[in-house]
Order: sequence, then structure tokens, then C-alpha cells
Amino acid sequence: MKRTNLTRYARWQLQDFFLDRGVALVLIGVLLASPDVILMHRMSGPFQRDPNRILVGLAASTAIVFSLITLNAQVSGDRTRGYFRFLFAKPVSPAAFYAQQFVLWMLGLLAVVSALLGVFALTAGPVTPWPTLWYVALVYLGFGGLGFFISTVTRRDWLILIGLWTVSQILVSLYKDRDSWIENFFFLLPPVEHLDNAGRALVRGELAGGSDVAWILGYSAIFFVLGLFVLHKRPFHS
Amino acid sequence: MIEFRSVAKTYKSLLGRTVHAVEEFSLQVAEGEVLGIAGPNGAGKSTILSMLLGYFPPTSGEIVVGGLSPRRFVERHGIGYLSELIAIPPRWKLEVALERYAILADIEPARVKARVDEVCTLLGLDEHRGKRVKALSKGTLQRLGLAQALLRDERLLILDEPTHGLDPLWTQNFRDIVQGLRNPARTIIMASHNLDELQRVADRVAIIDHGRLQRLVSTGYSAEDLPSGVYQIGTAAGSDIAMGIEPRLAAVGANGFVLGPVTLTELNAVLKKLMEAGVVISSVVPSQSVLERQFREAVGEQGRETSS
Repeated sequence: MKRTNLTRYARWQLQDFFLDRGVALVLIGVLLASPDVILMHRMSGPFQRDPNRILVGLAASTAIVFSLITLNAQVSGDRTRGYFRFLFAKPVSPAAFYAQQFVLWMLGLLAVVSALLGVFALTAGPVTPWPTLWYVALVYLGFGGLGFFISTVTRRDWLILIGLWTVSQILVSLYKDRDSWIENFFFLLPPVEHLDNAGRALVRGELAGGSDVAWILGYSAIFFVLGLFVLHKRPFHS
Repeated sequence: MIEFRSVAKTYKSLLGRTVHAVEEFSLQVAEGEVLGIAGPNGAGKSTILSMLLGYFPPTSGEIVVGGLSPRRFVERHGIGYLSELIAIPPRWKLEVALERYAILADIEPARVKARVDEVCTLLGLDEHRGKRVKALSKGTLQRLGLAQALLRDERLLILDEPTHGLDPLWTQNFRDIVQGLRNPARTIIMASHNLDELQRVADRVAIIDHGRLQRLVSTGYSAEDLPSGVYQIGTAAGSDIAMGIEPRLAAVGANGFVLGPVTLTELNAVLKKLMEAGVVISSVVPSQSVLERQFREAVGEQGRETSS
């Protein structure tokens, strides 16, 4: 495995993110934030909302969408379109290639969110960016490992990830603290409960707690490593 | 350089249907050899090449490339690979695509630009450098695919249908390029439907059908390989007297004849007789090459019925 060529290729992976997904994320972010910002400027006096509160609402609703767009088809896209054929005839490990891309695209996502935060601050007023950035990173990582793994084994990763997320939300809301046997299997599901806790911390203007962060990162890391294992053992099995 | 040891690849569908794409495939390819792979559609050629690139493992058996497993060899050394379907993101510009592949091929940063220039010139891509992949014609895209495979001086080149979509001029140029790539330290594997192309370029041709190696044919001509054959003989002068000299000749057009089936010895005797009588021979073309004959025998309708 050659490290130097992959490191040199990093700028192209970042460029791919910004052109393929970053532009779309900026447009979605602007479209979703605009009504709130316009409404805020129309209100005055005691009715005018705090920009930080608007931002929290926006972050809570968009973080999952932004993460899913960033995660979509990270591996399966190249397989479906056949791009892997030329890429991995070169002295490159597919596992290292996609691991690097996973990290770079998270950095790209955070860069896009930072840019949107900058625009938001200019139009709505000063905001504290760190809780939002931290929350977006956690949501990306919370779903990222599982999304990465699914993308290594099937082409319908996005659909399956949304399905799992929805099922998890429903099961957790129905059975949490109900002394049901189903509760014993919550640990297998995407960590929606821990992400909810992180969201609540965001609303309070705080960073998520250590145990929630540890669970989210641990859950993600396990599936991420599984995805790397699949890529190492059966890079492009069809 | 390459060894297939009883390699098999089986696919299983979700409904439990089993497809044997490759079965009991054993073959050795020497360093410096140009090996052709021929076979009808669905014979298993692309599956064999994909396993050789380590894109998926065999179900059973073993493939060794340069003493390593295929994937390990690729990740350590790289392979010059041209796939049958040229899949490059349509948004990329031709020059940028080559630069990206050159970086992944681990060409030194200072050499990337020069190497891209060289392959663009070699394959006549200079005028298309600024175009996006989606704007390229089929032939230009094929040349781009070949260009990325030639970026680095690889020990192993795998070319899957390399002249597909090329015009006659570039098909000829391609043969010259492959001849130029011949090197005692380089192995070239080329899969093609075009038997004439394989006959001209390859040292040996593996004929595959139903996932099995049916025959391994040397492309050189010898009396043993051609016990008898039919030949088309073209004349530049003396065609009016030719049939009087050799009654077995059958006229085809104004200056052409068909002879045979005859052995190589008989053919040479007839040609000698014609030339001594003043007939000027312009061409002698076998109606079927060694490879074509072997291919027909190996994958003919009879063979299909018996092996399916």
C-alpha cells in the first residue's frame, strides 16, 4: 500500500466532495435558513428571536439530511458506475482510499457548515458556532460508520440507512423505558437515542456528554472497521 | 509471471440459481509474453480478468501474480488496465483525468505533467485535453482509457477489448503501440473478439468458452498447424495465364484466385510454378487463420451443444 500517492490524491477527493455534494448542501442550507432569517428581520422588539435559537432549530433538522447526503454512495457509487476499475488497478488499497475519503468528506461537510454559519451570522446576527459544528460532526459519525459499511456491501446504502434510522426512531420512541425485551436490543440500532441527547445538549447551548459521544463513536467505529474489512477481503464482489 | 491453478468462479443469485462463470481454469503466462484471450460473449473472459485484478476472489483454486495474490500485486506494483467499458466520471476533463490517474499510479510529482503530455501525444489526444469526458467520442474515450493504462511503465498490462470503437487508423496505430510495448520484463494480456487482431499481436491465444479453457493456440504458422487450407491469391500481372498453369485455381474477380484446400507444401509449389511462368503475385491470404480454425473448432455450435 502506497501512502504517498493517496495523500497526494486527497485534494481531488476534497474537490469531488465540494463539486458533487458541497454545492447542493449550500443551496439546501440557504433555502432552509432563508425563511427563518427573513421572519426574524420582520419581527422587532421583544418578538425578535435570538439567532442562536434559530440556528439550533436549523441544525437539529438539517444535520441528518446533510450527513445522509454526504454519506450517500461513498463506496457503492464507484462500484455502480464502474469507476473503481481504473482507480484500483493503480497501486492503491481500496480500504485506504475510502477511509481517507470518509474523513475528508467529513471535513468538507464541516467546512460547508462553517461557511453557512458565516453567512447566517452575517445576515441574522452573531452566533456561537461550536455546538452546531460538534453536533453535525456527531451526527455524521453516528451514521457514518454504519453507512460506510452498508455502502461496501450493497448499492442501496442510502435507502437502507434511512430505513434503519426510521425504524430506530420508532422503536426507541415506542419501547424506551417500557421494560420491554425489545429494549435489550437497542444497542444494535443506530444510536438515535444518544444523538437525541446530543441534540438536547445543543438546544441548551452545550456540547454533548462524554458517554453519548463515546457510544456514538464506538458504534460508528465498529461498523467502519467492518466496512474496511469487507473492502480488504472482497473489494468489489458483485 | 501469472499462474491460474484450477480456478473456478461461481455466482449464486438470491433465488438460489448457480452460474459457473469459470471452471477448472489452469494456465501459466510467462514474463514477456503477449497472451490473447478469445471467446464468445459470456465465455468468462471478463470474469477471469477481474479476478486477475483482485476485484473479487475465485470461488476455488488460486491465482498467483508475480508470486503474490492478485490484489496484493496490484496494491504493491499497479497494473496497466484497460477495461472493456470505459468508466470515467463524465465531469472530469481529459487532462485532469490523466493527472489524477498519474497521481494514483504513484508517478513522481515532477514527472506527472510530462508523462501526461507524452501519453496524450502518443494517443493523439492533445486536441481533446480540455474537453470533459462526457464530450468525448467513443474512439477518443477508448484512447483515453488506453492512455491511463500506459501512464506508468507497468510490468503487467491487461487490455480488455482494446480496439473496440477505434477507427481503422487507430486500430493499426494500436497494434504498433502494443508491438512497441513488447518487453522481456512485461507481460501483456489482451482479451478480444477480434481474432485477426489477436493473430497479429499475441504469441499465444487462450480460447475460452463456458468458463473453461478450450484450447491454447500458438499464433505462428507451421506445417503442423495448417495441414491444409484455402488461400486467396492476388495477381498483379499474368492472371490470364494462371488458370492454364494450375487447373485447381478458381477465378475470383479480375485478378484474384482461390486455391485449395492445399497443404503449405502444395501452396508453395503452385506459387513457384506461377511465378516461373511470369505471373506476378501480389498477395496470398489464408481464408482462415490458424486461430480462426481453432476457434471455430473449439466454440462451434457442436461444441456449444455438448458443453451446455
